[in-house]
Amino acid sequence: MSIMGTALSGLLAYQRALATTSHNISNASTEGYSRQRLELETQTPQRLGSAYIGKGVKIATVERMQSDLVDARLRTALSSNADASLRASHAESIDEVLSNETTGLEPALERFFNSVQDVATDPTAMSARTVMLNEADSLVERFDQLNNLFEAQRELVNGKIANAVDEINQYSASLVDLNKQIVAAGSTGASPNDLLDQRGQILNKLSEKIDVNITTQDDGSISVFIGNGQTLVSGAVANPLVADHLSADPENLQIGIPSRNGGPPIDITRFMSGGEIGGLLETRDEMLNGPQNEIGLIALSMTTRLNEQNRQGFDFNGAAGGDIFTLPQVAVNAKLTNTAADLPAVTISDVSQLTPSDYRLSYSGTNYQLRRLQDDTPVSMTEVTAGSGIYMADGLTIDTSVMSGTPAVAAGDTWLVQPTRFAASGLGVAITDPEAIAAAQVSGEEGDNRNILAMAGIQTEPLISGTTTIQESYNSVMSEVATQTRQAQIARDSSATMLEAAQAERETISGVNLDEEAANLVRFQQAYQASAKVIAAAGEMFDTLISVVR
Amino acid sequence: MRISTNQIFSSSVSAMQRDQFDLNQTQLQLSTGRRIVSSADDPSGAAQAVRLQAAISTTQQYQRNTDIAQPRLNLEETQVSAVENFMQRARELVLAAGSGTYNSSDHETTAKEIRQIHESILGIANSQDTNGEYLFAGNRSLDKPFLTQLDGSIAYVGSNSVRQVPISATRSIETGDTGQNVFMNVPDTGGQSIFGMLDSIATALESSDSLTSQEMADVTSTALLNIDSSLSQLSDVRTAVGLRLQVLDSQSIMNDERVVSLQSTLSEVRDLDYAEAISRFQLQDTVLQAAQQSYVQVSRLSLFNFL
Repeated sequence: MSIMGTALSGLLAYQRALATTSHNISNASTEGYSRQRLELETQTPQRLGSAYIGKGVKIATVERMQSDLVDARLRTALSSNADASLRASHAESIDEVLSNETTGLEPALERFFNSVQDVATDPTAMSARTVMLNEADSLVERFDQLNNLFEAQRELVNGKIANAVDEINQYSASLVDLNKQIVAAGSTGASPNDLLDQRGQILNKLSEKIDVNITTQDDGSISVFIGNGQTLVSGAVANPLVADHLSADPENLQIGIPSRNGGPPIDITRFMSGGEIGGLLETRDEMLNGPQNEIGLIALSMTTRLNEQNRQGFDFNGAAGGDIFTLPQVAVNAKLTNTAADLPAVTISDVSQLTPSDYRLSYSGTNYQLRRLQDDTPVSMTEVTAGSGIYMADGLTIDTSVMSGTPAVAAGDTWLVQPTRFAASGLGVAITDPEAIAAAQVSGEEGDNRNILAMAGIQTEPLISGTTTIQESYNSVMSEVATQTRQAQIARDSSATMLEAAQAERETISGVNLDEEAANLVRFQQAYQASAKVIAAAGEMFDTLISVVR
Repeated sequence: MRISTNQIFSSSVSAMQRDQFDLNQTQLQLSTGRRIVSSADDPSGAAQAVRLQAAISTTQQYQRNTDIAQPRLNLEETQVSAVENFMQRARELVLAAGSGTYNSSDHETTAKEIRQIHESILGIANSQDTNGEYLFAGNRSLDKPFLTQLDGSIAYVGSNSVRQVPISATRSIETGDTGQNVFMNVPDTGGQSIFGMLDSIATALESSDSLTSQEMADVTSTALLNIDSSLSQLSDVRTAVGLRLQVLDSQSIMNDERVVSLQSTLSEVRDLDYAEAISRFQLQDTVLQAAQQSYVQVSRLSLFNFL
């Protein structure tokens, strides 16, 4: 009888409704879960004479409550927040060391130049000269410590880049798996809600690593693109990223995508943005490369000038003065794919023309070209004498004639020239005898302080690139770092607010509200009981009918 | 308008975390006494603070320079004064010798005393300061500036340049005078030194027997003129030293005032206003407590409690 069938359909439907409600309650705190709602609809009615009699309820579908648009907004917010948080935390570490009075450069500079003045007021006192040499040692050590700070941060950042690339590859592999499962499950016509939730969660985690673009295909699988169009995942295929030394830089990792024809990976670092990777790359360029080089330039300029001044004077014993400091070499590194095994010999010929940039020297097959990396502009080199192979540019002397061994230099060979990157760690104090400080301008007059007065005056000379004093230059590095830290902190705070708003938006649509589920429990339970009662009533009706016939 | 259970909790938690972070920052300021805990708190203020600190350090260095220059100049003044006194005594002796009432044994005694004065002044001319540097040697300060030659005359072998010490960004002070300027080449004496003129009057007195009274009168009057010229030169030197000491004094006062003013500006830029910070701390403390208490209340509300 149709009453029984109708009641039974109700019983089954509300049983499923209760199951869905309990599924929601169990997953109330599951990350990435979208609440599910059972959609009920009436069964096709039966025609009986002039009326249609209803035949009960059936389950239309289990709807997954989520919005693709809101999910996309959440991914963007996750990406920005991860980027800004990472940048802010690295920036704060660097800012703290530079501005701290015990670790910054400023106090060491002041103490050194004060000790020079003390020698100027008392040039015959060995105690003052000894103190000056001690302060020179302290200054060299402080420069070294600052450089080590940057190197430690760089190691940290590169380590994180390698880790992030590993994690991206793991997520890509998971996405491929889920894509396959979703395509298989979707072929039955129903929507695999929980698999979709899992895939959405992986996409969120991926967004935290890097900015991604998603497109959904007709069969239900998704394709993921990064950078300016590079494919990360396409259906059932994942492109694994690599983090390796793809340029001539021996320290910094570049991000590469495998090339289609089996050659070395293609460097896509410059297209990467957003997420942790974007934050790490930006930290490396703005917070590490720039300030480290500028401090190296300060170290080089100051010690070169002090050496020059000491050489102009005469020491306590009347001998001509020598160098106070030993200076570092210019760092030159070859790209791993270079043909030539030799390196060009690069020295600094004029420190006042030096810039705080790194340079790339490349051989085109016919001539050498130099590129300044800070502003990415080509630099014209003047050859000292035609055909000598020795070029001068930006205060550097580049000697390519020493690369005469085999295998010879071939077209495409590239070298990275870093005059200032490691300079702050490469200093040393060359004299140990306090008598060797050349205080006098005239030989034999031990009380003469005119040369050491000139040395004290270096503190106020526009030394760095011919325009700024030592202290002003360091001050501007510190200010630059402080300003960028402030900006990163503001970005972190505002992106955190946006992330909260995006999460709230998602929760409004997809989040489970336990009170709502509790109310549904009561509702479905009552409906189930009512349907059961209908079955009992139908049974009694049948019993009545049978007993009539007896 | 729907809100999920998770959202209720996570929005409360993130609000509490923000309150805790703000409270912690204020506490850090209170315990360091600084408004600017790290440069990022106020980049332009931090840069200004560094410049002020550098200016204070430089000015304090100038003060140290002044402290070294002062005793040297004081010592020089004392020594030049002593030489003046000796020359005054020599003047009295020469005046008496030229009065015409002395006999040759008186002249002998006078000559002896003048020779002693010569030695005393030579001793002062070759004196050293507490550092062991010769006071009147100029920049060749580790060697005796006045040497006795084979013919008995005194020659100056020191330097012609004196040490300059910076006492402010624009001013330097000479911390001595060369022996050349103090003892040698006295003006209007035909290029004689103090030693030379004392030696010649002593020699003349020792051979007074061979001189007529007119010649003796000429010799003593010339000697008196020479001594007066040397006294005038010594007085000039002492006046110059006195002026330099005055400059040091006034510059020292200016430097002190400058340091005080710089430190007060530095404090305004860098240090914490405790009154404002403490009341801010109280407010943030209250806000955090309110957030915590309201969280407890809200988290108790659930329909399941009533089913």
